[in-house]
Amino acid sequence: MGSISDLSTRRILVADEDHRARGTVAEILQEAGHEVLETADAEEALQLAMTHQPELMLVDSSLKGMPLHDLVRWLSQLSPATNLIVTSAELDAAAARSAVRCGVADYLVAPATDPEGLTETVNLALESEVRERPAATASPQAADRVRVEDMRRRFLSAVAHELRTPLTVIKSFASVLAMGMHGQLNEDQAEVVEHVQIEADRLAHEVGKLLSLARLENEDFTPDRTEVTLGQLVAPIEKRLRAHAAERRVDLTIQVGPAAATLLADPQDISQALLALAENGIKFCGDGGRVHVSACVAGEHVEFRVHDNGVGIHPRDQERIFEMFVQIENPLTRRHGGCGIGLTYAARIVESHGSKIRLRSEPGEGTEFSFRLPLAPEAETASTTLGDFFQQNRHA
Amino acid sequence: MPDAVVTDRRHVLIVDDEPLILASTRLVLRSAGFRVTTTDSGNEAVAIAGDEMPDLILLDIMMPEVDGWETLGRLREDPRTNRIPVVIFTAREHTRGRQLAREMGARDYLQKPFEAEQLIELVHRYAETTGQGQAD
Repeated sequence: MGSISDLSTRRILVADEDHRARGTVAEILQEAGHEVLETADAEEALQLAMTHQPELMLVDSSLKGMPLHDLVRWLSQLSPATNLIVTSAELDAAAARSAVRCGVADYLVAPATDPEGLTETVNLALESEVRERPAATASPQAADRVRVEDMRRRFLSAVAHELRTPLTVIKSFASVLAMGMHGQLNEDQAEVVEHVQIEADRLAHEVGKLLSLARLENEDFTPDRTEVTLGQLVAPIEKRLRAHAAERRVDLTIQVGPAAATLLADPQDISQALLALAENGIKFCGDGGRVHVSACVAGEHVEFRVHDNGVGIHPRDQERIFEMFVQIENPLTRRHGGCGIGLTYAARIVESHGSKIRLRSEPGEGTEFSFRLPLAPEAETASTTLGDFFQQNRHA
Repeated sequence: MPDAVVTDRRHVLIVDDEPLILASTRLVLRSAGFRVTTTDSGNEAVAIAGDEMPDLILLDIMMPEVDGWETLGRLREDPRTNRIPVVIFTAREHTRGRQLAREMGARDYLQKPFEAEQLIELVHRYAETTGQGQAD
C-alpha cells in the first residue's frame, strides 16, 4: 500500500458519471482518511472546486457537460491550488497526451480496480506542485462571471424547489377533491376548490415563466430539441387559452395546419412562447375583442401568428416591448396585472431556436406577433401531401 | 373479491423525499385505481423495486444521500429492475433534464407542478408497457 494514510486529511473531489466507479474511488480515499466530495457533473465539479477549494481533483476524461481542456482552464481560474488527476475507464493515448498538455498531475486508467495504484498516484499528486495550466481567460471579470452564474444556479435551484414543491401538493390535493374521488362536493365547496385550483395554476404559471426565463438568460443555454408535431405543441395550451379568453369575454380562434407537421424544437418552451404571446393578446383586447392564434406550414417553415384587435402598441414603444418587466402604460395593463415578463420570455425562447419574433402593430388597430421555425427535414413531404386533410380551424 | 381487484391493479412506486408530495401523489394515483408504494429514500427504492417489481417508478431528482440520477443508474444496472419504466418528476429547473433522463434510460420527464390528469395519463401510458423492453 502507498503511504497515503500517513498524510494528514486532505480534501479531494472525485468527478465521474459512473456512480459505481466514483463510489469505489471515494471509498478508497475515505478509508485513507481523506475528506471526499463527489459529483457526476462537470459544472457542479467547478462549483464544488470553487466553494470547497479541494487540494486534489480526480476527473474522468469522459465527464459530460464540458470538454476536459475547458474544465482544466476553469479550474485554474477558480481553484488554482487544486491539483488534477485525469482518470479513464480504458487507456486512451490521445486523452492521456491531451491531459498532459493541459498540465494535469497524472493520468490514471481504471482507478477503481487498482487501489494501490490509486493511492500511490494520489499521494504523489498531493505532494507535488501544481503544474502550470492554461488559464480560462486573462480577464479577472471572467471569474466574477462564473461566481455570479454559480449564485444564479443555486438561487434558481432553491426557488424552483421551494415554490414548485408546495404548488404540486396544493394542485394534487385540490384535484382529488375536484374530481369527487372522496365524495361529491356541494356547489359552494366546488366553487372554493375551483378558486384554489385557478389561483394555484396562475401562481404555477408565473413561477414557471420566471424560472424558465432565468434558465434562458444563461448564455450557455441551448434548447432541448426533439421532434414534435404542431398538434402536440398547441394541445397542451389550448385549454388554458380558451378558459382565459372566456374569462375575459374574448373571441378566440385557433388554427393548426396540418396538425401532423413535424418540427425540431423544445416542445415545452415553444408551447409556452405561443401561450405567452396569445395571453398577451387576450389581456390587451379587453371585453369583446378577438384573438386569432395560428400555427401553419408555409413552405419549409411553420409560421406561428398571434393576432389581436386590441389597443395596439405605439411605434415609440415597440422597441421596448420585449424588455424585461416593461409594460407600456395604459389602463388595461394596470387593470389586468402581470409582471411584464411574458413577451421577454417568448422572445428569448424563439431566439434560442435561431429565430426572431416579428411585431406589426397600429395603435387602436391591434397587434400581430409572429415567428417561424423550420420543419423537420423528413416532415416536409408528408406535411405537404397531408396538409388539407389535417387542416383544422377551430373556434371558441 | 378485493384480492382479485388488488392483483389486477398496476403497481406504482413513488420515490420522493417530500412527505406531502408522496401523500398527495399517492392519493391521486390511488384514486385513479393504482396500487401505490412510497419511499423517501433512493436506497430503499432500489431494494423495493427488486423485491416487488412495480410496473412503474416515479422518481424525484433532488434527494439527500442518494439522488435520483444515482438511483436511476442503480435501477438500470440491476437485471431485475432494468426493464421497469422510470419517469423522472422534479421541481428542478434543469437545462438538459429531459435529455439527461433519456440518456440515462428514463422513459419520460415530468416537471412539477403537474396536472393530476397529466400524471394519471402518463402513468397509464408507461405502466402498461412493463415488460415490453426499455427504450434506448
